Formats: sequence, C-alpha cells, structure tokens
Amino acid sequence: MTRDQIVALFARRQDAIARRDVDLIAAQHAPDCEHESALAGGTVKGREAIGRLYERWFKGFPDFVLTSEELLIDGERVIQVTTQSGTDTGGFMELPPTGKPFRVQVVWLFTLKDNQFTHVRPIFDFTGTLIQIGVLKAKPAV
Amino acid sequence: MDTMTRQEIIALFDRRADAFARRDVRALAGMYAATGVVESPMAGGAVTGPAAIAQLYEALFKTFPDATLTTEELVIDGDRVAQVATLAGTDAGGFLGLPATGKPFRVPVLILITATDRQIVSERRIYDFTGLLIQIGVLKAQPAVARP
Repeated sequence: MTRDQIVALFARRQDAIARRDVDLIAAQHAPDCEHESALAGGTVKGREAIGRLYERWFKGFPDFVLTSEELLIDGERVIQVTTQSGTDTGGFMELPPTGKPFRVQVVWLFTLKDNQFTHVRPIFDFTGTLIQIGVLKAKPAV
Repeated sequence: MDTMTRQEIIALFDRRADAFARRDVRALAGMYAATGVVESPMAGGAVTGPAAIAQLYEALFKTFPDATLTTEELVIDGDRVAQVATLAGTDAGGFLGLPATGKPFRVPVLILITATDRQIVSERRIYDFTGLLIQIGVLKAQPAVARP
C-alpha cells in the first residue's frame, strides 16, 4: 500500500468511528484479523468479534471521541497516536453507568495487507481508564 | 538539522539497549539533546535536559535493579520512531520512597521518539502505568461498582 492509501484508510476509519458505523469499521479488518484487547482480556479474532469490541465502547461511552494526532508509517506497519475520551453514561463492561469521564492517550499498532488490518494492538493505561470512570477504585497498598 | 538514516536510528537504539543493560546512566543521558524532553508516567509528567533525564534512569534502576526493556520492533517514519517493547522488573528498591514490595511487573510499552542530529529530542512513554503499580503492590484496586 502507498502512503496515500494508508492515510486514506485511516481517514475512513476516523469517519466511521465518528459516525458509529461498526459495520464499516469491522470491514476494514481482514476476515482473520487478530485484535489484542485489554477489554476482552486477550486477543479476539475476526470482524464480528472486533465489531463487538467497538460496540462495547460506543455503548458505554455514547460521546466517545478518538482524536488522531499522528500516523507513523513504516511499510506494512502503522502506529496511530491518539487521544480518546468519553463519559460512562451507557454502562461499561456490563456495569451500571457511573457518569464519569475519561481521557487517555492510546497508541495503536496496526499491520496492514491489501488495504485491510491484519493485526491490531492498542497500548494504553487501561487500568487508569477504569479508575477514571469509577469502575475500579484504587488506594495505596503500602 | 541533520536527518538520520534508518541504519543510524537502528544503531542509536542498539547503543541505547546496550547502555540500558549495563546501567550506564551517563551514556543513556548522553543520547538526548541538551533540550531533550522525556514524558513519562513514572516521572509524573515531562522532564527536560540530560541531567534530569539521567535522574529518571537512576530512579528506575534503583527501584527495579533487574529492570529489562526488551524491544520487539522499531517502526521508523522519517525522524519519528516508535519502539514497541516490554518493560519488566522487580520492586526491590522501593518505588517513590515507599518500602520495597519485592513484587515483579511486566507491561507492554510504546516509546515514541523524535531523533535528529544523532540525538533524541523528544520521547514519550505510553503504557499501563496504573496496572504496573497494582502489579508491584503499591496500589490496590477493587471494583467500585457492584454488578447488577
């Protein structure tokens, strides 16, 4: 894929996330794409399972925003630097809504092939996010 | 401003890995520009300049004497580099002045770097810092919301 094709792919992804178009988001992934997910507690595989991950974020945080700050493109590997935010008004992880907001830096690692994602891995402070929205409570242990 | 080649960037990271393994704080700090900035959850924000950055490394090695940073890959796009790595260690020295817990941690980490003129001018470290604190037993977390 050319750099322009990759940039366009991510622009479509950005647009689909803003429109909550889970079908289009899922369709950007290869049928056997693997997506590592702290939310899922491991790796999920395939468009349907990946679509469900996005549905869970959109349901928990109806005002979810993903702001793309930068793309690093190195052949088939792409790093997307983002800031993500939202408010837990829908209930996250099958818990009652807490009404609390979060804001976190998330770096996404993508492997691309034939205009599709074949592997996806976000890295961020997931535990800190759960504390921000009040799903987890933390206190000094020592 | 002198742009670095891919080979020069890889060589810089090799030297950095070697200095990290040898606990050579002087060599590590010397890889940053005079105005180099490191943003790190462990620093609680951003620090500027080799002297302040050296203190970050000293604190890391004091807290986690067995710290390892294992690079999985480098993604290089011009002067921007993403280092995908695993950071691991054991709290044998005490974190932020707290008593040592003796507990280990292991977290995936993404280090974003701008490298020019054979030096690091900016570095941002992103990882599950809160999860790390829980793993080493400095923080204790529990569900705050009851399941329906």
